[in-house]
Amino acid sequence: MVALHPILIVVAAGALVCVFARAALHKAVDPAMFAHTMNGYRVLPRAAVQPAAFGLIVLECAVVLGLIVPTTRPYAAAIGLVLLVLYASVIALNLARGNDHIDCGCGGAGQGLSWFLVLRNAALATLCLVAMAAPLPVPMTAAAWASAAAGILSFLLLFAGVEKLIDNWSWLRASNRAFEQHHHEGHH
Amino acid sequence: MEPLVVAVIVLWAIVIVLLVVVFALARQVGILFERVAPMGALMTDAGPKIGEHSPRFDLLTLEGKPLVLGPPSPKNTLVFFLSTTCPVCKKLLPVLKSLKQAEAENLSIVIASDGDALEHGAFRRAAGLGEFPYVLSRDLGMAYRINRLPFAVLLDREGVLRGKGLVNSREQLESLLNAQDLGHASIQGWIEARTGERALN
Repeated sequence: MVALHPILIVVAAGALVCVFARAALHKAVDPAMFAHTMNGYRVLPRAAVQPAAFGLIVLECAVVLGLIVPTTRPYAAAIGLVLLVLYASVIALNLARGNDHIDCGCGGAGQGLSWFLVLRNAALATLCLVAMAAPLPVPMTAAAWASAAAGILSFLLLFAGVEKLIDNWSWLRASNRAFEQHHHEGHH
Repeated sequence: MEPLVVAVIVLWAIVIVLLVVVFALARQVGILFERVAPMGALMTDAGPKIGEHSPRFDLLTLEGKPLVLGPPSPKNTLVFFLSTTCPVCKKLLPVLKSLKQAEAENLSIVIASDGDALEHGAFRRAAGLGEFPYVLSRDLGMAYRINRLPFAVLLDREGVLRGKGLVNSREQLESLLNAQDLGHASIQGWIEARTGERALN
């Protein structure tokens, strides 16, 4: 297994804790809405959606707690990786089926699906891989912790900014689509 | 302190401030889209598409009268989603009332929300919305992917979705109806089509 500097691992784990905590909170606060979103993805039979939704919330909570404790970190990161790859494949599957106007369930205004979301998940999956790595035997000094904190904060801000841009793009695409639809009709 | 350490601290500070700026800019672009951007009911691309048949809903109004959303309907139907706590929704209520009178012949307006029936009953009396059918349905809001309010959905007589979007002003609400008259999904579609025609000429 690759060994990495502990600062990198702490940054990756810290960022993932925040991302998964937000995801779990967002789902747990409104489980009915989450189940409805899952229905939109059309991968599970209706009866299986409720238990699966509950299972995902539990897994996400487990990932958050597991990432905080250093001994369980690699396992939690592995579960997180599986979840992210699962979400990305389900999104990709629906994109391939052309079922892209459903709500992605990413929170916010209700954006549709796009390949940006698959890319976003791939980036997060890379962070999981970093969090799974073994730390080099280097002591974490105060300066290292400060650096890690700044790294986590920067990552979260960057993530929030990129998410906002994807959201905006989804709106732009919606108005473009309305235009194309018109154009198409206009020529017949 | 070593110069390198100072440099790193300064750089971190700059990176974080820059990221805050990027986020703030992205957010402001989003808000422009929603509020200030050219009049017209903005659409998200989640939920049923324009031109698709809307699902049929059998609902009960606050008084317990049955209300069917879906075909066949004698008039076009505007479903206005609001909440009791949203200030923009309240601003638009007079517009809804004047719209109801002006378009009485071919438009029926339904107010939709979800939550506590008693609270909505009190709001309805206070806001003078007695003449509008008022339904509370979580399913309805979820079917149209309503996440921000006030939101309006326009259905034609055959139950086909003719327009939908956030409505933050009188102009946006009216443009939703104009879009229906003009045969465009949204006023942006109309503006862009006009611009396109002009470019061709």
